[in-house]
Amino acid sequence: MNDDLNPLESERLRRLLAAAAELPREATPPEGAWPAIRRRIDAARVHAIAPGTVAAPERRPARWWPLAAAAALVVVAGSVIVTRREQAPEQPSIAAEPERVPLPAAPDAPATQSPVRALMAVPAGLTANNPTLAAVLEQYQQASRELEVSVATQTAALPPATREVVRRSLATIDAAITDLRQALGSDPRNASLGQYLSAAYEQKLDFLKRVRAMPGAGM
Amino acid sequence: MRHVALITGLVASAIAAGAQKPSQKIERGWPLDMDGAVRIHNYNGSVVVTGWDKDSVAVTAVIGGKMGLFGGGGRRGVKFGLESASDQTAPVADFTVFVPSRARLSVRGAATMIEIRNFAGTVDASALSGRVRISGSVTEITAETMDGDLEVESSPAYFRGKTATGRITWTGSSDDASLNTVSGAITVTSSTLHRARFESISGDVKFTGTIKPDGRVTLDSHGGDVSATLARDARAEVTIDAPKGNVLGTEFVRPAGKALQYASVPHSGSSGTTRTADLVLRSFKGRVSVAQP
Repeated sequence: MNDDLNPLESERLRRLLAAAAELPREATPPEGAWPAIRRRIDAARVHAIAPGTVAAPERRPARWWPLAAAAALVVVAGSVIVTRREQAPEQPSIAAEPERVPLPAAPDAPATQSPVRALMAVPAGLTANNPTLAAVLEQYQQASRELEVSVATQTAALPPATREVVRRSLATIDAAITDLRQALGSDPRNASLGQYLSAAYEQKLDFLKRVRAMPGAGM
Repeated sequence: MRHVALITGLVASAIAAGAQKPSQKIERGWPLDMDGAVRIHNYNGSVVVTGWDKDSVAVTAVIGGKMGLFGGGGRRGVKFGLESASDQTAPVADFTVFVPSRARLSVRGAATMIEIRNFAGTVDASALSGRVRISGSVTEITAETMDGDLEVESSPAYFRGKTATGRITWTGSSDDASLNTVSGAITVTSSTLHRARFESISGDVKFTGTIKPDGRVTLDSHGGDVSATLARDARAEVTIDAPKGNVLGTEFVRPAGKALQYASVPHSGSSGTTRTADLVLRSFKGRVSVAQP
């Protein structure tokens, strides 16, 4: 999977993937949870009101202005951030690449860094010099890790020859990603390298999705 | 002693005969509208589909073993094949199929060679280790194979092709094409492209052809060589990015190690007012070359 890992790291990664694969796909909520959820849904539900049955509610103008103020603050802050980014051409952003589809937001990161996370971490120089790119790469890595975990168990169902193709292909993509991470670590403001790296990650995500959809994998 | 040898020989022959499963030939047919949908499943063997000008589907299946052919549908859609989740459990089967030439065709295979010819509808074909070959006046193509090759001779309006280690070879034109491999080479010989992207991680990417005036074609490889040969009358702004590789061209030669380089392909008879196409060539480690005869 990651040919650049040493045997100890590789073993840790294998154990982590195996442990993740054993987790149940679904979990039944604890008893008594559902009535509480139901109460909250019912409380928030909008009920139809027959005309004339209820008197018009009393206007309470004092309730809306804090919300409006907060919304205005968000809009102003957003504009400032956008303007500052537009005024800083030396900050290359791969989000500007029109042909790249933005990734969905990654789920919340765990509180502590796992060994895998530390190994695949975005180069420190990049985080300091190009936080936008570092954040995008972090999302790619997160998505890639999640897919790898879900694919790991499915590849066992594939024919040996196909498994070997999958292994070799992932090794090829990972080698390219390692190359580019190293290059970006020493030249963090190089937008071109960022584009190469995002392209490599997209190739990896796309490839993992294809593996997941293969006949024999997960059927 | 001779009896023992004879008995042993007979037993061996019996075992061999038992292991060699007899094959069966099944012929089926269904009526289908000319633009109806056809879905074919065969995970081991071959599927050869030919388009014809009849509103029906005909299949001849030669199946190793006793597994039968499932199939059914109506005038808007027909589905048939062997019920097996993968090529590990599927018997070897060879399908020869005729479908209405403008149908919407879907073929699912694993260790399956897929060939589609004389076809003018839409194609969605996938295999794992088999080769996929498509020809005809196909309008849309979505094709995938992992380590088999993908070979297309057609000019679909929309074309998506993917392999892992397999090569992609395409001859034709398109307004919207995207080809992608991990280590397989991509070779495109095209009369005209509009928007196209050809990407590989370690495979070579090669393009020969013309780009429409407002089109954009991108050739991208991490470790492979990237090369383009534009037709003599083609006009294009060429962007070359080869941080670690060599850049070779008929009009320009740049030393290796330059991060970003721009150049324009010389235009024959350019008026300067015509919209030009964009050609982007990128390779992180490989050589990049562009030429115009």
